[in-house]
Amino acid sequence: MQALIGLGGMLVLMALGAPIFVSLGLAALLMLATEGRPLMDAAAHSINGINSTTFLAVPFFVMAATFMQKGGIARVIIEAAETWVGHFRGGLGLVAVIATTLFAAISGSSVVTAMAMGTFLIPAMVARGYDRPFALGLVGASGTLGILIPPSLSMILYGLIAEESVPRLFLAGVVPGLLQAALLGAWVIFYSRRKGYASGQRASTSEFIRKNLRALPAVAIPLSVFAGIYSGYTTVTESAGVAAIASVLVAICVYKEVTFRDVFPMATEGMKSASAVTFIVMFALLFAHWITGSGIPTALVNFAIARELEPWQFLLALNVMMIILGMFLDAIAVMLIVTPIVLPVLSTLGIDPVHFGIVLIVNMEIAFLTPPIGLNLFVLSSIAKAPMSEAVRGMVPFVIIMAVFLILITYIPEISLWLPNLLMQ
Amino acid sequence: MITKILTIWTRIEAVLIGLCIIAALLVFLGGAAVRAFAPAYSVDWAEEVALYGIIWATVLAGSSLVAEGRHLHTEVFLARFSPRTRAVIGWAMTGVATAFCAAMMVYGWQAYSFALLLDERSASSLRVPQAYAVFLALPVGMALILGRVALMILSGQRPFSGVVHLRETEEL
Amino acid sequence: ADAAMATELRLSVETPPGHVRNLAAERWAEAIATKSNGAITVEVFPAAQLYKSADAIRALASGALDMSIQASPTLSRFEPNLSVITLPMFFGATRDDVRTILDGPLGDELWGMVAKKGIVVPDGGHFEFAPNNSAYTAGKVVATYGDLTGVKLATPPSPVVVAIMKEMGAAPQATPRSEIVLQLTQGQIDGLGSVTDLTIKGGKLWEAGIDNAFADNAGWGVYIPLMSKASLEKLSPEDQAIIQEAWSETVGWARDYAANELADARAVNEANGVTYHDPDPAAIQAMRERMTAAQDAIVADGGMDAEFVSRVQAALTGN
Ligand code: NA
Ligand code: NA
Repeated sequence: MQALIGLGGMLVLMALGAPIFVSLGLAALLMLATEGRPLMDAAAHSINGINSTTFLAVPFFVMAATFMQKGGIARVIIEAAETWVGHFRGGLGLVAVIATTLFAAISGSSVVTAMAMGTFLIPAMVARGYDRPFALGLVGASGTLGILIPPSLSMILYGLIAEESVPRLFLAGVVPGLLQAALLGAWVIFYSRRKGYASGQRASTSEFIRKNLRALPAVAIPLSVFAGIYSGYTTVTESAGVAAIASVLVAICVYKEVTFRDVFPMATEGMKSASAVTFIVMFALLFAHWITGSGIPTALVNFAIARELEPWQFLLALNVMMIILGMFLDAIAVMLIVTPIVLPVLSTLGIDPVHFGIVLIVNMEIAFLTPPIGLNLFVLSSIAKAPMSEAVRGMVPFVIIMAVFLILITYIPEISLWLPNLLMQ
Repeated sequence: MITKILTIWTRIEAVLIGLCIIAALLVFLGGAAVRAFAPAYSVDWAEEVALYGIIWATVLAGSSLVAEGRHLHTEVFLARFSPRTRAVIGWAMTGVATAFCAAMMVYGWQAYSFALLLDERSASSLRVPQAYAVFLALPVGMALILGRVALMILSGQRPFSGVVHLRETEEL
Repeated sequence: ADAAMATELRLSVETPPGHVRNLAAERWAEAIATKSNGAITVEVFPAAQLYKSADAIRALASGALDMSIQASPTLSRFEPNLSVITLPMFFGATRDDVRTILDGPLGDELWGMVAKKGIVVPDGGHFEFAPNNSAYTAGKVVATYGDLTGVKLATPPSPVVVAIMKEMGAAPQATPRSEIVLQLTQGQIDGLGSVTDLTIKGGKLWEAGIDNAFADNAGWGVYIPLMSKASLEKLSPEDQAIIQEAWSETVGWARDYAANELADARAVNEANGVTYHDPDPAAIQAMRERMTAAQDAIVADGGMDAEFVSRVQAALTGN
């Protein structure tokens, strides 16, 4: 009952147009007050929630993305990519999927991936005549690859809780990640044909050479990030900082569209976009803290466990449960609630914990996209300065695609387990 | 007059945000460089100090986001109401948001005082007092939002309305 | 206790179900429920669902959380003197040495310092999760203290540990647990420093390349059961006594379980290809003497009470 009041109150505030961070924070604060808990702990929990290395990469990647957009780097890269696939229908949409998939192999977070890629892909897609809700949905859904394609902060967390080997989890995410990218790419082609998005002209040979040569210094930025991470010189978070510095240098020295004086205001602007999302994260964490303490989510999952279901029924029930939890909670909170309860029953049902880990990750991906609390929704709305309703509308077909993808991942364990079993036994 | 104050306020905040985030970036990468090229001299606090910069930049930006109408909110359900009803609900939500920020300022200050009393330190060899580095950020950020809200109301704008006041931000 | 006035307490730990901390917490909760005839129930929240480590300690102090079990390094962020058992003088010390100190008047003094923060350590006290070993490495043989020179080791974020590893000539990098596997597989670090056999077994870190252990028994760490003073004072004296007694009845089991688990972990690691090097006691003693010379500086930098430390040292060497 208490939980329903808190949840309902949060939704009403949100529907009436209160800022999202206020809707979440106020609902949690009032409920904690009725439980008689000291409210200074709520304040401490909110601010200390972002005192975590996870949040270090967010503003750095956003700064890099801002520099890449305003400094002409993004445009040069997109123009070069178009000389390869631009003459297909939906060519830029495919560029978006491929670029985001590559970026997901650098970043370990969904929010960071959506933020960094959305900052320049969405304006570019809108400029080429794509409708904005589609662009928001595509980047939002592709951005979730950040936690499925290794490295993945979420998999590391799952590995710690489940005592599973993180390299094995990483490998298990590769094929599903590529499958998700392929599904999204197929949808881009289908949608572009239906909408009749014009295909660009095939580039002439001289144009092809000129544009690709011009893009070389720009392409060197993501390449240097890859090289840094996989050579062992930089951590994932450090690579975000390296990318920011490299973007500034290339934008100023090579493309000369910005000067040194522009660096400061652009850094500030990137930080503000990041802050709009971080404010929500702070109080989403507080809301999750309250609702976890109320015991309701645990009871929900325990209910599914107590039914003594067949493995396939169990996974189905659990997926439904996780999608519901994922609507209202931060994706990490979904994992923290579900994993410890479900792990002990996995072996009795003969479900591989690595396979279950991937099922869980895909559910978290969906949680990033579903209203009312979906961080990728907030991110894209913030950086595209688009109304939330538009982001939600654009996300609908992609959530359906992700649900189909979830069914595939759930009932064909080989998609996840084939690669780790091939390489690690 | 008030518009002028708001403009200067925004400019000061922008400078502070930029300083925090750029300092964070430099400290963080400096730490990484030492670790990669001279591991014997590596420090255990670069990441931690960078995070303090980001935490403070985040809360400082909260106030500028109010001025620019950029705190995220949904508007779908309000569309069906008359403009008059919408205005009433809008002001009610502004009141709710302001009250929440005031509450967070008070409880945030309590949390800061309590951390000071507990003498909680960071896990690095700097042993940074967490009260100043982390907990103070929340009440300061909320106080800035409240100050901004007051000035915006005095100048006839509705804070938390989600309307971007371009004239003000363009001056940056 | 009146059954109609049921008391519900919340206990938060950051480790997953099945971890010795969680098992001890569940036993403690059961003992409380039994002794109070169900009038006091304790809900255990695992895996940092409710609070991350340092947050839990703050929440205990404010009364937002009722109970927890925390590791001594985390608690040392609030009370630096808890690092005393990590200091060089504990190199090569036995489990019994640690118990003699912490179960005696010096231990009471230490828990008294924690009590000043509004956090009560129940009768029965700590259980050990260590000894720590100086190096577990991937593809790099460390068989003697000399081999440690320049080796990049991820250590728990503790200023005392970092200072000690530096003094030993290694290149310590305080690293959050979540980053370790990634950094290992990418070669940013050579291994882990100042952790236990269980750290390796728990994360199956041989899959991330760990194949060498330097088992020098260097420094100790304990888990400490904690109760919020504010929450406790809301209960009747009888109920307070029940919670204290319930822990006294649990701690013996927790100590035995933790010790056995640690002993098993080494065998599991070895079965998975980790080669152990056990330095001879003379080498450890030489290192202890060398390190003890640097101890005063570590104590001062770490904000610890030098006088308290010297009394612990006297008690330890007097044994
Ligand atoms: Na990734
Ligand atoms: Na959601």
